[in-house]
Amino acid sequence: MTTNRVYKSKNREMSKFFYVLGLLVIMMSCGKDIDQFIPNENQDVVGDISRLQSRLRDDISGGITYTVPVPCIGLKAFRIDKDVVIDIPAGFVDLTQYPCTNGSFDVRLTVLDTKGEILAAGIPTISENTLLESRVELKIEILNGTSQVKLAHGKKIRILVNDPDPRERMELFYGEGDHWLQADGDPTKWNNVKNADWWIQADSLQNPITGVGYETFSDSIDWVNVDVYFQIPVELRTPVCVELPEGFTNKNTAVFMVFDDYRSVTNIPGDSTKMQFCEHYGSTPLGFKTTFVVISERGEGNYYFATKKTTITADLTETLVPLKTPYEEIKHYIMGL
Amino acid sequence: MKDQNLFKEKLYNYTLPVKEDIWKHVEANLPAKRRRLPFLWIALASFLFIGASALGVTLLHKPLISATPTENKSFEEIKNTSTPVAENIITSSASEPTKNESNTSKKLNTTTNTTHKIKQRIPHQKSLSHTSNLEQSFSSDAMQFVSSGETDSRRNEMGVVNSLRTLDLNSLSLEAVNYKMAKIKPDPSCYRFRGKNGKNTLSFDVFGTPGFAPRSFESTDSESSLYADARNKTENSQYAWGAGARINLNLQQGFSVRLGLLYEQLGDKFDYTDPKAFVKRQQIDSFFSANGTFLFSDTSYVLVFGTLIKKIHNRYTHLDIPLLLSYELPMGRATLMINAGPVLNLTSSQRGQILDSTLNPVHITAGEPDELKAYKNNLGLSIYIGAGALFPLTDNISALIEPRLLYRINPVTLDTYALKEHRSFAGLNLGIRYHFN
Repeated sequence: MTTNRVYKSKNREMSKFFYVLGLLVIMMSCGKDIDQFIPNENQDVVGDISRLQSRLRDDISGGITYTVPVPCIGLKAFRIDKDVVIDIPAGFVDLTQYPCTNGSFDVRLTVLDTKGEILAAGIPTISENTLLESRVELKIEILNGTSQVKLAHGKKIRILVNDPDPRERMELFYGEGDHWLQADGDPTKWNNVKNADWWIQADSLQNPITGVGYETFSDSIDWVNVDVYFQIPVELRTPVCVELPEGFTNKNTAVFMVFDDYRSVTNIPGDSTKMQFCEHYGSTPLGFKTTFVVISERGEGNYYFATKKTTITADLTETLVPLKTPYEEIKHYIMGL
Repeated sequence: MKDQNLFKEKLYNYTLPVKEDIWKHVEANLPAKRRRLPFLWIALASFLFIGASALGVTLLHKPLISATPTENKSFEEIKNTSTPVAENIITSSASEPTKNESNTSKKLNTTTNTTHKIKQRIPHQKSLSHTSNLEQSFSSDAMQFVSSGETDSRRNEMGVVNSLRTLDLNSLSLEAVNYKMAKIKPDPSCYRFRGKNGKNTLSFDVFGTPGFAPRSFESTDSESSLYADARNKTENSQYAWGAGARINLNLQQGFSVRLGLLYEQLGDKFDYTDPKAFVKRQQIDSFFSANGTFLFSDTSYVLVFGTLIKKIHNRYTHLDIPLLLSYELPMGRATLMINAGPVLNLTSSQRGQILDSTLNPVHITAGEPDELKAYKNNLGLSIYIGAGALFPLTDNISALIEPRLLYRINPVTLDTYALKEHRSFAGLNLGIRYHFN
């Protein structure tokens, strides 16, 4: 009996030991695997709308940009596009400051006279929080080789714009960032653009340049514009907003309001407080037929596009859902505006 | 009722003072506390000692107790040799013999003398051989309890011997003697499972083996050295254990042959973090025209940057067949043994992930799309070396404890792999042995 008790006691001790050992082995053997990928925060593809706009601008530049060699002394008139004539005066460049090393200067002009061209490559037709109707937007550059040259002090470039039915109150504007400023700085005057007709014999080998339309003189190069203000009372204007799905921000998206019956395009910037794209100035005339155009780039080559036609009503907020759209589709649509 | 209430009221708050020495009495009557020692540490410590002793004994090859040869000796040889052997053991086991040991010595002498007398009194023609067996049993039993030092068992067996001393064998039939002898059971506390009369016996071991699996990489150039460093940094050993079973054929002279099956499982943790990781995700885009009509669908891939975290429990399993030659040496209650022999790998497998030579994590699990074929499915021949001890638990079962090393001769990796990885297994077999009758 004593021996049996000893055996049982021994067996109990052994059993405990084996249980503990087994438990340890099981605990060690049964680990849970962790195999995970944690994406970085704020890693959503933001995109960059400027890349899409650059691409559009570059693609259409062949049809809107012209380069004309002008003798070092100036005195050259030439037609560009179908409606614009540029008349370069004598001594347009201060040769003491910018020596004419190549025998001529290059005058490069970008002419935007459609809504699509303005949307893609120009400046929205807004000045002093007031909507403009554009006749033509021009960008004038004088180049000596590849370097920029300034217009000589006191010299003015004559700009002639063909228009068989010229409007009154046309004004000259200079580009300033993403809007326009009156060239004379006086909203009560509009005498810097005249209705005129012209006949220019540039040289004996050239046919004379003739036309009827607007005549203006610019003492500034870079962006110039021949526009007219919409004469809309303030009470007939309204702010307009566009709501887009999450992820479309002012970093990767541009929203435009294109007026169907006028050569006017305004951009609608992002408003982070409202999480909407809004035209803050309240300059949109009520009752105008417009088309909202949304272009977005979310990752290189990853484009989204949306349009919506509507008539402006008070405090209008439109909701658009951009869809993935091939670049050529976007370009084709914009050029057709 | 009034009287009862009066007593109740008076005795209700009455207390009797306790004698000061009462707790001493109570404490004295309490059962003695069992001293619990952690078995594992004792086992490990004793085992190391036993292992070292076994090695030393094996090298010297000088058995301490010559128990087995006596079984085949004749009565005369036993008579002449048993007493001096017993005396030698007692003398050598303690420098100052106790009373019990002296008594045992005396009783042993008495037993031997009595046996001699019995032999003289038994008619020679009746059963010399039986008598010889009887005496042989006496002698071997006496030697066993002398060497074991177990007081209870010795008392039991001495009782039987004493009863035989006073037995008149002339008045007993041979069957009665045999019946009486059959009553003498071996003390299970004394290990003596070796086959008697030169017979080979079988036993069966089952054991589990906690252990560890040291790993080393053999790199041939600086590139592979960098790779080895990267693997060492990303992989840590977590555990190693094994289990096994073997059948033992116990031969004569203490030798045994063992054949069995060994299973090993080694666990590593692959710990890898890449803060500059990226994944390429496939996405299907639908394209629309400017007026919103569906144009086509296109599949594109997007790179997503982030942190890759992997904490993978790698597992390597091996199944081997050991063929071992063993030498067993009884020592007191226990038996020491050393085992050695070749081990043939049946199959090996692994699951988990490691770095590849470009330091990118890949799977080693068979069938995965990015499986890196780095490890062999068969490791070939290995060498087993172990030394251990057996402790009797019951008549047929002994506890087995045996530290052992399984040395893998060949690398565990394929020749086509960039590194040569060597990995052996060292562990402590803990199990039981069942002795077949």
